[in-house]
Amino acid sequence: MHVVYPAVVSALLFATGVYGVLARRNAILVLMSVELMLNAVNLDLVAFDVWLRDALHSGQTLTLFVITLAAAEIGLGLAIVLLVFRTKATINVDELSELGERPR
Amino acid sequence: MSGFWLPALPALAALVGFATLRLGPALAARLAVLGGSLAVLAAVVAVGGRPWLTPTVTDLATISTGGPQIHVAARLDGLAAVIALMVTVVALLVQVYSVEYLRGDPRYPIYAAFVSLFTAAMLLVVVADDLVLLLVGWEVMGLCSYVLIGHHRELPQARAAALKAFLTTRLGDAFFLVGIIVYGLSFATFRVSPVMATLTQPPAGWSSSHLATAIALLLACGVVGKSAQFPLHVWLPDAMAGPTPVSALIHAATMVAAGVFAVVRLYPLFLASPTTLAVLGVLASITMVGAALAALVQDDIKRVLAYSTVSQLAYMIGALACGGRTAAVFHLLVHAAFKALAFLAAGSVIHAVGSNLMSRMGGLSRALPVTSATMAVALASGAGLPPLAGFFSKESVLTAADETARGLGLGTAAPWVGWVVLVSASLTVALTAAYSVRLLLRTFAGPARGPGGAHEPSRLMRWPLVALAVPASGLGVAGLSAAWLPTWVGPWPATSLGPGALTSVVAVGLALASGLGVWTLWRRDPSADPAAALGRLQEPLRAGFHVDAAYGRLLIRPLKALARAVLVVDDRGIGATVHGAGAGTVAVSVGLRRLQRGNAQSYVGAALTGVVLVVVLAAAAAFG
Repeated sequence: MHVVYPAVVSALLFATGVYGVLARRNAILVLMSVELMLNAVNLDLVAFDVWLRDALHSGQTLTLFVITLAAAEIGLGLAIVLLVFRTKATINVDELSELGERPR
Repeated sequence: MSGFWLPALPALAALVGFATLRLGPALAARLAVLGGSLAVLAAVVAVGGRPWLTPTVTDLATISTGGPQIHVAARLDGLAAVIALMVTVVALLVQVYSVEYLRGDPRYPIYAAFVSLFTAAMLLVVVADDLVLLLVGWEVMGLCSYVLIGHHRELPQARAAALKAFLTTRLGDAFFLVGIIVYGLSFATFRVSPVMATLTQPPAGWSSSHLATAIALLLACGVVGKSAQFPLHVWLPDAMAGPTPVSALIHAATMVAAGVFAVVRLYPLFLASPTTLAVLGVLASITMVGAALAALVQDDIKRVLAYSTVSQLAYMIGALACGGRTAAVFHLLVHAAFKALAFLAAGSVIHAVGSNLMSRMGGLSRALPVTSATMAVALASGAGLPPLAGFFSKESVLTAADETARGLGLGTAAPWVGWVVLVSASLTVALTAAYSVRLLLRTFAGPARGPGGAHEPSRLMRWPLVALAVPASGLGVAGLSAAWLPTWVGPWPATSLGPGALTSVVAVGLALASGLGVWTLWRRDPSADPAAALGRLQEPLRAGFHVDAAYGRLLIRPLKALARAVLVVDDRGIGATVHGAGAGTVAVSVGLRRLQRGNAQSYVGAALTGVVLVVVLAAAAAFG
């Protein structure tokens, strides 16, 4: 299989993730979009590992790291979303602007 | 005997005095008189050791500076011993007199301690064999004069006079310091006697006489400030705001004498620079005539004496300009005696009358017989009436000027300098007699104008007057033989200081004529001021030729304007940049802060746009 197929799929996945992070207002969907981007990278890492015939398989090793980190990150992120919902009764990211400059 | 004993004893008295300020005036008075007596004793021992035969040089320690070393060295030679004797005697009499004069003054203890310190500083100048050490004494004297002139600190004019004295002498001292530094760098030492010994061997042929002129002129600036010569004379008449004994001390023994003494000490250096001698001669001539004219119309008895001091100091500087080293020292000693006496007598009059103004005195000779007699001796000596001491010392100055004018002088000055000094000195002889007679007549003769009940002060104030009247009248003998004073204060061609025939006839004639003139004027109306005959000339003379006003207009006002301009630049220019940087940063940041709305997605969008832009640009650079 030519490396261009997984690369194109990965690019599409990443673009979808970017769109989701930038455009979705629901915090859980934003987190899911982040997962999409991470997995696009994972796909790339595995594909290029095979294509380049890396003797140490560093691409696959790194993928395992990313999966672990993604799991931890989504756990933390979902916990934060839960707490935000309890205090603000909303998980809409564009309503969570307390840290920004107040418009004068 | 080490020369350091002389300043050490009064310095010790001053230190103990400062430590025991709270123990009352009785102890302070005993301490001051004891310290003064010990200093006189030390000076007598010093003179008794005939130091002109074998000068003692003591080098206690050296201080390395990276440049020439500073030696803590003293030189006790005939000059130092004789001047020290004069200083200590006058200081002791001033201390005794002050005990009575300042009785009941709450600040007497600190006053007495500062007078002791003043004496110690002057003695340090006298014995110092290193210019840095000399400068230490010189500056300590500046400090003491500031404190003592401002003794009545509740009076605004006393504070102003103290500040003026300090700043005016400081102006000269700045040049003096530079002169010392140049001296140290050119001779690779700050020591005095070794350098002077090398300079004395070839008096006229010193190779680098431009350097000599530079050093001598810089040092002369300090001398002009300290010895109150034109154009830095303005502090001395105002220094009258201090207590009268302090005036006696400053005018006779210390401070102003230090300037003349410094020139005498460094005389070979000044001789190597005829330019400096000419400058000093011209300045002295202006000063002696101008100050004597100003003294003619003053109403304040102390101001008359102050201008008289300025004028008499100019005699010494004029003598030095004409190669009259011994004559200058002679006049310095005699002047110390008669001017200290005049000031102490004036203090006695002020003590009795309660005013400084001669328009409130008059007819006091009956009530104050001792004071009036001693004052008459002092003024007659100052006016140069034979056979009083002032006649001989003034004659020696005139002779030095006369010899220089005829090209026979011992110095290196041009004959015209001698002429200038000779003419102005002869003119000043007449003026001196005039103001002396006027002061005597206005104070002690004629109808009484002040409140009655004036009486002689107690013995503590009378005895110093009588004691000083002896040298003021008899000291002239010391100059009559070449083996006496001229040898003691050498090394300098020891010629007799006896009066010359022509100069003495002219000077005494002028003095008698002008004195008689004033007396005739006064006889017409004993209650009026003889100076009224000067008419409209009185006003500028009384104001000292408006020198103060001119300085105010030419120097002080532009300086103040400059200071204000600097303040404006500092505030609106430099300050504005600092404040503007802060305010500008805040103003710029307002726009940037508007972007931070708290919407995390817009941040990510901006970051992504940036990444895309960078990638596109990098790709364009790589492939384009």
